[in-house]
Amino acid sequence: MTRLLLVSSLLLWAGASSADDAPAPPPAALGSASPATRTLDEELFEVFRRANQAYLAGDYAAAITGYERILNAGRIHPDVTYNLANAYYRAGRKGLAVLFYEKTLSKNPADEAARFNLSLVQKELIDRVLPTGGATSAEPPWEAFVRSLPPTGLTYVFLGLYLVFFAVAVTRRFVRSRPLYRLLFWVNVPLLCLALVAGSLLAARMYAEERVHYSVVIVPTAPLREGPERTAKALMELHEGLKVRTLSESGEYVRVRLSNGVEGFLLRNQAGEI
Amino acid sequence: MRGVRHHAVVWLGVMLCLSFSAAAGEVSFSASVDRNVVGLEEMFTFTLTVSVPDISRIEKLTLPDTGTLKIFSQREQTATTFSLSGGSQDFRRIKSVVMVLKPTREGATTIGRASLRYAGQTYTTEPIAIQVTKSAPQKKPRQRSPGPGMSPFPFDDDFFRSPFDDPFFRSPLDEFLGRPREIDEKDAFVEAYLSPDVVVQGQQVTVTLMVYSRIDARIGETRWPKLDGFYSVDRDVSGARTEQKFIDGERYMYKLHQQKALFPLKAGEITLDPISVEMVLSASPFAQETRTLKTRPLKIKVLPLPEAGRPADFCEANVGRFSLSAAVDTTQATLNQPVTLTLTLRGTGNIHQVRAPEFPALDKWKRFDPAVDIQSPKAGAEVRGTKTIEYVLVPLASGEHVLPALRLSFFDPQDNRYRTVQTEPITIQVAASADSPAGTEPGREVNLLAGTFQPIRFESTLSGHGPPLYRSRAFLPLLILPPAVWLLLLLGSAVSRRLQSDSPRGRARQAMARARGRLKQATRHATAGRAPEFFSEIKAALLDAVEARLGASAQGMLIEEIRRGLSADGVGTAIVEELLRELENCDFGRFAPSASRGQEMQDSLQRSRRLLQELNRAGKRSAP
Repeated sequence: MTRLLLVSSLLLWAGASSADDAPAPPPAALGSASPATRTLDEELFEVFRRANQAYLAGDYAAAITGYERILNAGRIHPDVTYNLANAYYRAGRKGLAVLFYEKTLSKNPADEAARFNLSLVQKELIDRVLPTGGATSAEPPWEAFVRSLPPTGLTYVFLGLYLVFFAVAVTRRFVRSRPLYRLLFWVNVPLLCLALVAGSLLAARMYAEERVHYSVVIVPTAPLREGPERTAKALMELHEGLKVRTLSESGEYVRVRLSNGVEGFLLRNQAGEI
Repeated sequence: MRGVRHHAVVWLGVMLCLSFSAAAGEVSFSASVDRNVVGLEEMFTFTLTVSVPDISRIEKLTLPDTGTLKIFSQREQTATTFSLSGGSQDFRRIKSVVMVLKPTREGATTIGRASLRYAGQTYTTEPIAIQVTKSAPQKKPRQRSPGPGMSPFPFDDDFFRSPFDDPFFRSPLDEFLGRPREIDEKDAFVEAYLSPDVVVQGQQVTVTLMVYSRIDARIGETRWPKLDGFYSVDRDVSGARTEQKFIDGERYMYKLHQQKALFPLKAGEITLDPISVEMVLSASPFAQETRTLKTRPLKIKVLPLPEAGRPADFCEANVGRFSLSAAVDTTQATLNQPVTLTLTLRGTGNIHQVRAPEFPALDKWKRFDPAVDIQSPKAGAEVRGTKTIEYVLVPLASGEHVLPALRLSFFDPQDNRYRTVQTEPITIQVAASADSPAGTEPGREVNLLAGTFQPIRFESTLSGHGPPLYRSRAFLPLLILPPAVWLLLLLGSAVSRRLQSDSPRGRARQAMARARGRLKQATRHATAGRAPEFFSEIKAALLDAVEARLGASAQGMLIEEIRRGLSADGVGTAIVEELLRELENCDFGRFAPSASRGQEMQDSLQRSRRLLQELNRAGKRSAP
């Protein structure tokens, strides 16, 4: 049994660590408390405050500029992307509004305000993808589920279960009392099961985050072409705000798939990646 | 080709029947007309048929006197048939003379006898009476005048008549034996007509394209000129049938090919360029020719809409004759529940472009963009139909509401004046909810607090939402460290065990463990009453205990060696002596099993356990 636990934990470890090829976070995200960072923080807070004032005054262009400046400084915060999405919507740029609501939700799936505003904007979009036997949603159900899980919370849960499991396993090695030895074994069995479930969900979340990419059409109209060339036949015309799955890149084009399975090529600058 | 195939079938039928009739008599000679009562100026066909075994033996064929009937055209045909009768073949030659006749005078007249002199004999046909009326009579079955020797075979009259009645019919034998006819310009032509050619702006003009041909023809592509300045609607003429018509004495087949309804968008004189039709013409299967036929240009005069009496809300697209009605799906509505207002516009005119009145925005109603549906049958020259506009209205307050009347002004070209039609106002009772009926709280409004756009955020930490934790540098070490520690522990434990097994102490522990195992085995033997096996295990257990104590195998040691060894190792003399007695007792029990009882085995077991504990406990262990 001990060997079984050992093999299971090794597999769990291997599965989780194989997906962990993400780049290191930018220094700004680590939140060091150096004087230079404090100055940057103060400056960004001032930009945020001014952008909010511009939004309230109806100067959406100025608000957009301010929010984008914060994002360009590396502060990809859901509050900023949410405000930027609102500003784009007020400015009539529905495609970019959808893009930044989606970015907000990818950061914080529990953001109800962003979800609500996104649903309002989606009602005003032109494109409705007709089903062709497949799913009508842009994401398959399993993917929508794992994306709804908060990545940081899920990581904490997994790591907690994982560390406790190994702590108990190590402790057992030093226990002389046979009843306690057996008790620790039965404590470890559910811990291992929960750690495996949490690890699987985390691995799926990481896969969805790192390997499956979505884009949103950000220009009023974009022809979906048969091939990655301007002379290729246009299959249909897409309109701003439509969410598509990005499959690959080919020169200045990206190959995308609609939720009903139709595939084609979009100019890279016509689709913003979430 | 279909016409040619049909003619070939008919022709073969004629040949067959004549061959049968000829089989009954040697010579067949007959005359027939396609009708006996004809209108003045109407042409009909007279056919004279000769069927003989050898055409070279015809000495003379005299055509009949047609009297007041003018011979419009005349042609001869010859064919060969054969029949099998009683195992012998009978070849015959058939000669026919087809004459198209035209009356010149009203009243009764007669086509005289025709005569044939063949092989020295003379055959004649009967005279045929023709009644010429002023107008073309109803079509009646024709009368045949059978000649001498002709069999009264019951043929279908129309079937028999078909190939010979058609003055332009060319049988397959014609095509193979005769010379193909040249195609000339008069063989086919196209014409376009306007109806009417003077209209007001927005009124329908119908352009009809007709195709005429007197030979086999197939219609190809049709190209219309640019119809700039018109709103064009194609009409469905798929049900049009091919008919025949005499033009300058020639019979033509004609067909309504295409038709368009044009609605001029501006006033002035507009010239419609020729319409071209590509046609494949064939006078024979081997003489086909593709020609592009064109109509003459057409001129349309478009008058401006009159200024006098023009309503203020008139739209220039509204020309025709229309009616307007409005209806709602319910007059008992519920707050915040939609009501559908259906506006129906019916009539004759450009139903596609006519502008329906727009429902105004009301304070207490939310109005959504309407859904428009146009139903316009394509058949018929005149464009007519129904335009339905559906508004979804949501009441925002309870009480009684009146949807206002809607007006539509249009110009009626038939009456040449402007007219206005309007709907009736519609009263709707709106209840506050489904449970409270409308009118129970008249005048009281309800403030609807629906979901609205969520505002921006004014407070933010602008931090704490960096990349996910699994992207941090600490994540991988956190994953690797716990199993690594665990594995190291396992490894260390295994190494330690291995090292201990090679030391004197390790060997002593192993020997003592063996001794305990043997005692357990001896217990089982005692329970089963197996005395020799029991004492054998007890002795082995005690020797293992001695080995654990001395660090060397006690098997084969003499009693004295054991005594010396244990004493030297610090084991008390009493214990040593008791051990040696127990060893002797085991030997006695092993070799004299009859003396062993169950109680004795239990006593020996207890003593041995105590000895093992004493040996394990007493004094210091021996060094290697």
